[in-house]
Amino acid sequence: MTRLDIVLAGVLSAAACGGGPETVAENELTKSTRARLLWKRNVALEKDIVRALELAPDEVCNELGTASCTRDVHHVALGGAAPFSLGLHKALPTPMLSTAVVVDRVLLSACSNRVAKDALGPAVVFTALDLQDERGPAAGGKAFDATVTALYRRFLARDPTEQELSVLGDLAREPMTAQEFAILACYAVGSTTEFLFY
Amino acid sequence: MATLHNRLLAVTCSLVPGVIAGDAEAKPSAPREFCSVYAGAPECLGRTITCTKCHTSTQPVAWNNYGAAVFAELGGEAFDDNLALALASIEDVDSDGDGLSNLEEIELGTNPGDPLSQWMPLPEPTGPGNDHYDVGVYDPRFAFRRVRLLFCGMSPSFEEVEAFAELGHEDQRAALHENLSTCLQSDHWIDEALVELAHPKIRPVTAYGADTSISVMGFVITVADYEWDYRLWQYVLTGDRDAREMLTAQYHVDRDENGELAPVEGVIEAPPMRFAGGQPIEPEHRAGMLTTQWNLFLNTMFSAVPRVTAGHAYRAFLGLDLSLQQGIAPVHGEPLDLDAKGVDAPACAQCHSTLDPMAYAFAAYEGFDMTNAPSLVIGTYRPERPAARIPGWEEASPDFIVLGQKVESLVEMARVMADSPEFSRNLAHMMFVVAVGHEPEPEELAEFEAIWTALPEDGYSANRLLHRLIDTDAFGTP
Repeated sequence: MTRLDIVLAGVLSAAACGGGPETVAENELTKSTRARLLWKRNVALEKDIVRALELAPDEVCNELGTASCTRDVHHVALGGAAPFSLGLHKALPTPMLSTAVVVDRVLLSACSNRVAKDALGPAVVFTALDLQDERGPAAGGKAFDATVTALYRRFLARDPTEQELSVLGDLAREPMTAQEFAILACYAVGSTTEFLFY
Repeated sequence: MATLHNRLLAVTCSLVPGVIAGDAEAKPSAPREFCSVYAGAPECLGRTITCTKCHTSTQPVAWNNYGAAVFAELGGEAFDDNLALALASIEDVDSDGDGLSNLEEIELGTNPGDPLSQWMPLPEPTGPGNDHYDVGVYDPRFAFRRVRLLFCGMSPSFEEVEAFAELGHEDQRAALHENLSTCLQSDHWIDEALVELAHPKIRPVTAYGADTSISVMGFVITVADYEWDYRLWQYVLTGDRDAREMLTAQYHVDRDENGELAPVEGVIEAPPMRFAGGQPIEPEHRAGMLTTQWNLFLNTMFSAVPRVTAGHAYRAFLGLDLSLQQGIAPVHGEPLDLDAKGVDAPACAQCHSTLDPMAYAFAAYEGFDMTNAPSLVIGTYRPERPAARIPGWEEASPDFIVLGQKVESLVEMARVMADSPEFSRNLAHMMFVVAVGHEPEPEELAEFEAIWTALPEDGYSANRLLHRLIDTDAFGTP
């Protein structure tokens, strides 16, 4: 088990126990009375990740290094049809129990691949971080703000709020390397309901 | 539209007296009476009414509380003459005991015979405001993201969202349509999204198609190539073309040297070293996706009376699923049960009195004939086939009937289907569910009706339908 695995397990466990970070305080906004969102299914999810992280489609996530997570292996759980392989002519109407796990898998893979490429240079997404640093950026610092802002713009097409910066600041206070912070910050923004539904 | 109402309502209303009187004959006056009384009811605005409006079961017959109330009010009197009075007399009754009268439920679009069928109007949004969305009203920024994701397959970038936000409201609405027009020409819409919508209609099986891995002595065992079906579907639903041609086209579609979809005229031979995979039917006997080699092979196969083929066409292209008792319009004297399958048994006749008169029109089209194997006959037009395969065919000389209209051939039947309100409603319904994510809710039915009834004036263009769809509150109101 790598150090990232341990950090990730801790962060995910905390998130699971805590019910997930709030991106905005619920009582501060007028709520939708319709609450009818569309599920960003496998193809759109893949394309949005490709655009956000400037990866090639085959760099997003592959099982055993060859089979696409979004197109071939987990496409049903991600909301795709499978007419040729499974006779599933119509995609499932709602997410499955395994969908959340698969989304995690896809995002962590894509984020890890992007960080690895940026670490080799030249950096494309994590340009404000020294990815060789043994410590992550200081919460509220220039590199931290620039990184989180870049992720929000790339995934959600907007700037983060002060509260969202604060939430990710909690992550930055955990002991971890710059690369670990980059992966987990990328995962945190990419796995928001705002990115996964529309 | 009234025609659709009448047909659909015939399903619901005619079954009650039909079963009571032991007579499966259609009662065309019943839907007219119903819709003359409830012309503004959501159920008359484009939904597919089923027997559950009155029945919990049709074989053996059983009624829900609303159907029982209608039955009681009729008091054994002639159905045709008394339905309107019976309906009117129970309007103020709350048959299912859910707190709303039957009339209130009919006007809302819920089932007056089912206490679990309920709908509450959307509340007005309340709160201090929302920095992200215009909650409760059409929000072009919300619609912008949906347009790009649904039809281009990708969210707009930060820079694009910023630029869009800078526009005035009217310019934003115009920009939405410009984006949609661009996206409707994208590979994502044509080669991903439209293809996915076609799967339930084409139902591909790799082992039989052009990509099969099975071969014998160098011959690839392609039984039929469903890529022809996909290409025709993609072609008629793009480029402002007439979507009805999915049922009426007498051409097929291939990729030209530039990779663009382009019509191909005439008989198309199977590729070399393959059993099949072309389009062998002469153009004058073609009816779009109904007569492709794949559709006839997959659905007709060896059957003399191609009931599966007819039932699938009814479901896939008109949205009427006989297995769900949708679109039942019994034809007097049917089913004849020419092939002695027992479909004239009461439990079967309910649907087969509608299905079989459609299936006869497919009988002249071969599915899969191995009589002279290894020479195979797959998906061809053979006018001698019905008499050869169906005992008593010539003596019976059955009528071909679809949607209450008698036709002379499958080609004519396809035209009747394509011109029907059911076809328009089904096409719009498919697009609505894709774009909005759910069946039209009662508060959305007026918008939905406006979309599908505009198809004739829009030249049956799927693109124009989508331009209307993205302007609806159902699509753009967060």
